[in-house]
Amino acid sequence: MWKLIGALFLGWSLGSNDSANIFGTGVAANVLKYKTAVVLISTFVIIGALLEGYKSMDTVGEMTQLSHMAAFIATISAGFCVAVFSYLSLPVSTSQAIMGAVLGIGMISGIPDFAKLGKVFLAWALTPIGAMLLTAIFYPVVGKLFQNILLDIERRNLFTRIALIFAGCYGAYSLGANNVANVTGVYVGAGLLSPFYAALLGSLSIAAGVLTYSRNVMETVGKKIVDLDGFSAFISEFSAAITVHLFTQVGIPVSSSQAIVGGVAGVGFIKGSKTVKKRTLIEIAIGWVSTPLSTGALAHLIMQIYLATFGMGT
Amino acid sequence: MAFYKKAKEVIVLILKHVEIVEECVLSAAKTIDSYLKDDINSAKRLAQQVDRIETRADLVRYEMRDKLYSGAYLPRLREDIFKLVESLDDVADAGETCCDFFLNQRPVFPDELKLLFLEVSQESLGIIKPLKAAIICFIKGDCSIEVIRKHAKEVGLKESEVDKIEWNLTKQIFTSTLDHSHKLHLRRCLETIASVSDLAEDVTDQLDLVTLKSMI
Repeated sequence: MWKLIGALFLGWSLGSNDSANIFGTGVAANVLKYKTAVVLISTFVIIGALLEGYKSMDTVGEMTQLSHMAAFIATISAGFCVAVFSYLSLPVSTSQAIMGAVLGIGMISGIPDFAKLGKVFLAWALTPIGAMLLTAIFYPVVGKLFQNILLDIERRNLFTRIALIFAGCYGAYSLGANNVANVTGVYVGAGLLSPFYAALLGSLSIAAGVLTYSRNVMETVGKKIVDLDGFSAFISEFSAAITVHLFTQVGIPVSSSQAIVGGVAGVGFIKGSKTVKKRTLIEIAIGWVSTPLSTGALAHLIMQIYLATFGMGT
Repeated sequence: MAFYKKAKEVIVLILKHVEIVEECVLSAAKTIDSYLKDDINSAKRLAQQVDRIETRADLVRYEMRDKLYSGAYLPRLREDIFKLVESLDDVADAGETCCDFFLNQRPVFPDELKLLFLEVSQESLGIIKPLKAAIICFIKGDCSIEVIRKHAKEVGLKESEVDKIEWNLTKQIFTSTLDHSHKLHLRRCLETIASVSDLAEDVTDQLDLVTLKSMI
């Protein structure tokens, strides 16, 4: 069971980083307290993972069949890279990290499933675009209702706050449903865990990251996006949550960070203002390549060393 | 739902602040009126009353600010509301400054200018009525953006009227036979009175900005 340490570490990293995408705005805007936010995120991550987490497990698990040891190396490499990237304040996607690691190990036996790989790459590219498009649709439609029904600032404020909390809870649910596969999916493929226990263990490790180490990232990211008005923040978060949830239905783990950037960019597109810096978009594009490459290279190297030392097959 | 309770309390405090500012500016107008009618005792009494009302406005504003920044509204809206209330408070301050000017510096008005000074003070300080209507409309949310803008436009028109009177009065002051220091003193007095409507217009600019931002 010690081989699950990699998953626990990766889940913890994911929880401490990605919770900022969900309630960063709400906490920075004092919509809810940090403690309430982390409890809500943890709860909904676990619910999402248990109810729908199995849907993406297959994609990660079947990308390449890994041994228990290979699964451990994949998760520990991905977790390490995510931690290093986060320490360097670079945007990082755990989906891309684990896929890179799985492929890096899979290259040794030369059997990565390129059909599935193409589907995954396409999903990565479509994540920010999808969130952006959904924002472009929701913003004018919900906005019109918001404007015509809620005339006074008091009710508008109340609606926006409740909507932000709702979008956050839904975002946490989507994160759990979609990203738990990144954490424990490889163990399902390796036959070490059943999908249910993989979802339970994965979501608990994500919740542990959320509860113990998310304050700094949440405050930093929250203040970056908080410049949006409450309504725009709600629409962008809600669109991002739907996008991530939609990809769960087709079984592909995607990046919640990139979905939220797409949502925020969508607000800028609709309002004719620049909400996302060009640098952020470039960093996302670089991340698509650098994250899987670095985790892939690290996992490949560790696996090679392991094989050279112990001489076991993947 | 602590934030909902706070948001409600903020609205109550803003409405209270608007009422107090109106009372302050209208009392200042009465002070000037009494002074120009040579009823200095009434003017003194009214000026003291203005001072007390302005202090009350400040206290309500502080209370509102504390509630606002303890999480009553979302940051952007919070800042806009606070700026709006601050700018309205400047109008009350300007009303108090008028009273101070009259009672401390005791300007002397030639009879032929008294009526014009009375007119400019009534116009400038009377601006508080459409201003109050515009703010209440926005805060209570019981009228459309168009109605808020209509009230804001009235404020703008009144301010233009004050500008026109100010221009004519300045000309009259400087073409009179008064000595130069006296002319400058009356001009300062006129500027002090007109500043009330200038500041009221700043409030409507802020209000315009907030309503524009709230449009989706």
